[in-house]
Amino acid sequence: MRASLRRRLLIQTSAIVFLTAAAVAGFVWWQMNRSLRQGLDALLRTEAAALASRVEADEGRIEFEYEPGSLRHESAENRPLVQIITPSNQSIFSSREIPQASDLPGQVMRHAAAASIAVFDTHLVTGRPSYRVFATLVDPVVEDGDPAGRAPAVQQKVWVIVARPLAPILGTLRQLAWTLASAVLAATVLAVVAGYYVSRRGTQPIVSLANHLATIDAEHPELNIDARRMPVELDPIVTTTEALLRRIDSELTRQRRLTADLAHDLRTPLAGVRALLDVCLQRPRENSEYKETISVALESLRRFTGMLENVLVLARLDAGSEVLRMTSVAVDELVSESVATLRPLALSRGIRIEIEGASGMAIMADRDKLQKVLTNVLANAIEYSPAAARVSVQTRSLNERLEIHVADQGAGITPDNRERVFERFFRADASRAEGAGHNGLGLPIARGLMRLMGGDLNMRENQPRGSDFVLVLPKREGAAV
Amino acid sequence: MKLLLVEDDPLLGGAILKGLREAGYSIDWARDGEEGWHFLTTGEYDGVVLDWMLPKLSGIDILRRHRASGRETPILMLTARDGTADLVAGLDGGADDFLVKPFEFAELLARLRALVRRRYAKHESVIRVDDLEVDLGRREARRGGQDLALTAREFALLELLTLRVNEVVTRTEIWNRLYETDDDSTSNVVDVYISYLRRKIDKGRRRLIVTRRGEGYMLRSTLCARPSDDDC
Repeated sequence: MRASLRRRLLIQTSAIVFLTAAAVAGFVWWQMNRSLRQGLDALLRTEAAALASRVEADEGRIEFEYEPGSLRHESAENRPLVQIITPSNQSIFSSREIPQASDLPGQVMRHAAAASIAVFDTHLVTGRPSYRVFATLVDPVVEDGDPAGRAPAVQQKVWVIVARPLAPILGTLRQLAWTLASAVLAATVLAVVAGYYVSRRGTQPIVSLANHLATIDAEHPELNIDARRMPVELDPIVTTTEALLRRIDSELTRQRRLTADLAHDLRTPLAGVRALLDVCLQRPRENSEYKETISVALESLRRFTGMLENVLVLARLDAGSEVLRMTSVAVDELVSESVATLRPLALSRGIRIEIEGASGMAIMADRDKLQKVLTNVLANAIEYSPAAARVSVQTRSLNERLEIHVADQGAGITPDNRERVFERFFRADASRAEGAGHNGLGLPIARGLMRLMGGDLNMRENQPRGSDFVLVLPKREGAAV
Repeated sequence: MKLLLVEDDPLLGGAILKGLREAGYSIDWARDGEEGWHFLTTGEYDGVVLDWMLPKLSGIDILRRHRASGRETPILMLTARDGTADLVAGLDGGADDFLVKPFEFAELLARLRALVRRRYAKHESVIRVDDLEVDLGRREARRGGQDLALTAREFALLELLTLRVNEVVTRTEIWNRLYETDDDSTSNVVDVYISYLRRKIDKGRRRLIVTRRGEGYMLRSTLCARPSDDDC
C-alpha cells in the first residue's frame, strides 16, 4: 500500500492522543491506588495504637479490654481482624473472624524479622480476598497503684495485629479503571474523527497546488500563483517549479527561434531563385540574358545546397548519428591543403598566411572533418581580416593535447560574444552577417565536429588585436609527437 | 506609381526590382533597414515592399515607426520565417498585406495592385472616366473604344491622374511618383510628359486633362459640370 500523508497524519495524531490519554489514565489510577492504600495504612496504624493502649500488664498478667464493634467498619465482611499475641506465640486475644487455617502470627513474625513493625498484604487463606495487616510490638500499659515494694515482673512485649480487608479499595480501583478506560477510548475515537478532518484540511493546499499544476499549458509553461496565499512550507516547491517552467519556456522559445531562423535561411535563397526565374519569363528576352539568368540561378542553388548540407550535418550531430573515421593524420599536410584551398581568397584580399610548427606532427582524427573545420575557421579569419593583414596558423604540441591556433588581426569579438559565436544562427551584427553566404552555422558545426572527435574549438583574444581560434585534439596512443 | 523596396538579399531584391520596373512601377531599392527608413521618411511612395529580416533595423520596427508617425502608406511585408507569429505581429503592427517567401511573382504584382487600388479607394482594376478606360492590370488604355498606344511612363502618368480623378495633382507629386530618387531629371519633364499624354488622349476629343495654374494637373470627368478649372 502506498504511503499516504493523510493516513499517516491521522494515525499519528490518534496514536499520540491514545498514548497520552492512556498515560494520564494510568497515572491517575496509580495515584489513586497509592492514596487509598496510604489512607488504609494510616487507619490501621491509628487503630493499632488505640488497641495497644488497651493492653495492660497487671501483676504479671496481660489483660486486654476489647469491645467488639468498637472499631469502625462498614459491613460484616469488612470487619477488621484483631489479634494480640506474645512473641512466644501465646494468644492474648483473637477475633472470631480470623480463619482457622491461617497462620497470621507466623506471617507477622516472618515479615517482621528483627523489627518491631510489620505491614503487609496477605490472603490469610488461599483463594479468599486479601487483607492488609498492620502489626506492632508494644509494651503493655502498666497500671498505676501497684502496692509499693512489689517489684514489677519482667516486662513482656506483645504483638498488636490489626488487619483490614482490601476489598473496598480494590473495588474502587476497579471502577476507576473502567471509567478511565472508557475515557481513553472516547478520547481516541474523538481523536480519530477530528484527525480525519484536520488531516484533510491540512493537506488541502497540496491538492490545490497539484490541481493548479495540472492546468499548465505545455506550449506556454507558466505558473500563475499568488505565492502569498500558499502556506509557507510549499514555497520551495513553488519556487523550484517556477524556475523549472521558466527554463522550459525559454528553451521552447529558443527552439522556436532556431526553427524560424532555419526556415528563413532555407527559404530566402529559394525565393531569390524563384523570383529571378519568374521575372525572366515575364517577357521575351535576349539569349544572353537567359544565359546570365540561368548561371545566376545555378550559382544560387549551389550555395543553397552547401547550406543544406550544413543543416544536415548539424541535424546528424544532434541525433548522434554522425560517423567518425579516425586515422592518424599528418598535421602539416592538413594545414597546407587548407591553406592551398584558400589561397585565391587570401590573395584577393592581400592576406598573408603564415604556417608554423606543423611539421612532423600527427594526431588521431577524422581527416575529412578536421579538414573541414580548419578550412572553415581559416576562411573566417581571412574574411574578417583587414586588407594586407596577416593570418597565422600555428600548431602547438602540449602534454596531453595538440592545439592548432588560427589567429587573425581583424576587429575581434567582444568578450560577451566570445561563446555566443558558437550558437546556431548567431550573428554578431544585429540581424544579419556582413559576409556573403554566411548563415551562422559554420562555427557551431565546426565545434560540434571537434567535440565529436574528442577535442574542442574555442576562441580567444589575439594580441594586440583580432581573434585566435584554437582547435584542440587530445593525444591518444598511436600518435607520433 | 512609385514603390519602395526594402530587401537585403541581392538576388531576390534584384529580381523584384527588375520585375516591378517592367511592370511599370518606379522603384527605389534600400538594402538595409536604416536606408529603408531614410527613404521612407523623405520620399512619397504609393506602396512599400518590406522584408522582415534586415540588417541594422528590422522590417517590423520600420513598420511600427512609420505607423506611429501617423502615415498610411500601404505596406506589403515579406517574410521567410516560420509560424503565424510573424504574420500576426506584422498585420497587427500595421502591415496591409503579407507574403511568405518563396512566392510567385505574379502574386506579388496582384497584391501590390490591390494595395494601390485600396489606397485610392478604387475596387476594380479597370477604371472608367467618361469614355476613357484605364486597365491597371494589363497596363492598357482606351478612349472611345480605341486603343491608346502609350509608353510605360505615359501610362504611369495616366494611371496616377486616373486614380486621383477630379483631384489636383501637383507637379512635385507627379515627379515624386514617376521618377526614382536618384534620377537626374528635373520636374520640368513633367510638363513634357503631360503634353505627350494630352496629344494621345485629348486630341480631337473633350479635354480630360486640365491645368490648374500654379498648382498642377487634373483628370476631370463630365460629372464635374462647371466649365471653369475650379475644383469639383
